[in-house]
Amino acid sequence: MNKAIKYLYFITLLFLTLSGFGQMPIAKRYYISDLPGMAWMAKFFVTHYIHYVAGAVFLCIAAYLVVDYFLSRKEEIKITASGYVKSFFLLILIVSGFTLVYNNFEGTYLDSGIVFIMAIAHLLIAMLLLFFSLFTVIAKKKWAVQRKDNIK
Amino acid sequence: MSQTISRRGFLKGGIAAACTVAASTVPVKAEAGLKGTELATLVDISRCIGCESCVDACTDANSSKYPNPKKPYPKMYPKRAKVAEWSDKTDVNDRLTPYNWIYIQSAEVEVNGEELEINVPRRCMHCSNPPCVKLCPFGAAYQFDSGISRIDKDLCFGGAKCKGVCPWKIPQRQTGDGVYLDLIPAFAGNGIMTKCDRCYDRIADGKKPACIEECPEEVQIIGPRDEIIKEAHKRAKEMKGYIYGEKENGGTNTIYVSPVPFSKLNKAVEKGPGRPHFKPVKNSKMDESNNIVAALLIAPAAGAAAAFAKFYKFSKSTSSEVTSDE
Repeated sequence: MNKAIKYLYFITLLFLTLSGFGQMPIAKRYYISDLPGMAWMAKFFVTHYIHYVAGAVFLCIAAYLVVDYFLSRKEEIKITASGYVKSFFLLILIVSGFTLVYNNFEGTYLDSGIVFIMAIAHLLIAMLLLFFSLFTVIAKKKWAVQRKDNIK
Repeated sequence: MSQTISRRGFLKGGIAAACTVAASTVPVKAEAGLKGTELATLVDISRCIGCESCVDACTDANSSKYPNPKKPYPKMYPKRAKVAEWSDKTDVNDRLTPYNWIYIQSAEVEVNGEELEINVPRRCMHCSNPPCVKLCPFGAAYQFDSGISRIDKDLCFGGAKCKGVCPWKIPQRQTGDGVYLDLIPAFAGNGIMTKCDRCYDRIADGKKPACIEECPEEVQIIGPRDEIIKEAHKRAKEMKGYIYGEKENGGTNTIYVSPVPFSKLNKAVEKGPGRPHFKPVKNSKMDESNNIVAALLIAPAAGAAAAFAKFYKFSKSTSSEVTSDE
């Protein structure tokens, strides 16, 4: 991953995480929104909009990396086990996220059970991904490694 | 009852087990009776005499759904989280509370030099695209395809986000009840949120909401939204009156018809916690956010196109290098 994409990916995930947690009514209770520059965390529609925008940037990066991998880099790099785990978590987040986005349209009446499962899955998987990402940073486990036959 | 247990089990149990349980039992099959047309209610303010029959009928029909808090309440941290206590004030009926889902808002208004007493039954507006439902982070609120929005007290944590995003601040909180007690009550949750569910269970049984059925003056009628809108316009024309709720917050399923302009009514009624306003609510913030959805759909295509462009550029430069080498 080139450096610019890496930084953009990091910033996007940061805003997705903050605005994602901001969907829960915790920012005011826990004084997060009292911190300088964090008042937006307690404004539910602002966190909602930011989550959508950050989600769009994330999808753009994800699509670029996936297509780039299959077109140009498949023979050069190999996805690691931790990379596959993260990809799996991200896939669940995308599917559950899109379901909830769809449900937000007027006249959409998804089954209450489906909405409940998607909402809880989105929250729990996001938390799992965060903890797992922390683990991969500490354990220095990368998304992908160079294929041995490609190392010059 | 099994539904209650399984929903609580979902939150308390492991993810895998809970998913299995929820997938098999969560869908509320009683909703079957609610399938179909979006229903709206018309509230003809000119007919209301403020007798509170609707208020009493609502309590009779819905008291089994009211909170049942267990005292003493768990201490909450940090101290900013305040107890919302209404279980000692269940007889309060001059505002919305967790134990009073409809009340009569009264005002003295001057119309054509004549002093009129206006009475208005106030409860949840049941928005066509309800932010309280759509933005609940735990999926604890949902909307039937009849347009009714409902908070499931077995899933609600009482965080009050639904109240925060409601233009009329309708949902009311009661501490000491709900699933939060089974998790970490000191640090997450604060009871349950409650509001009018427009007697969804009575409608499922083919009955009218209690407040409509018991009204001696036929202040409210219920029917398919398009028919109710037509009727509202007809009555407004006849009384040279005004309509509220048709377009507010992108459209609601509670259409008020009044002989008095709502701006005037809004100034005259007592407003505040549990006492909603009659201000204009021009745009639906839900609809505004849905405008961003196009970006969510275009973004992956843009990312994929960028990768294709990179591949094409790389292939072209490689082939030209090969050609020049030759």
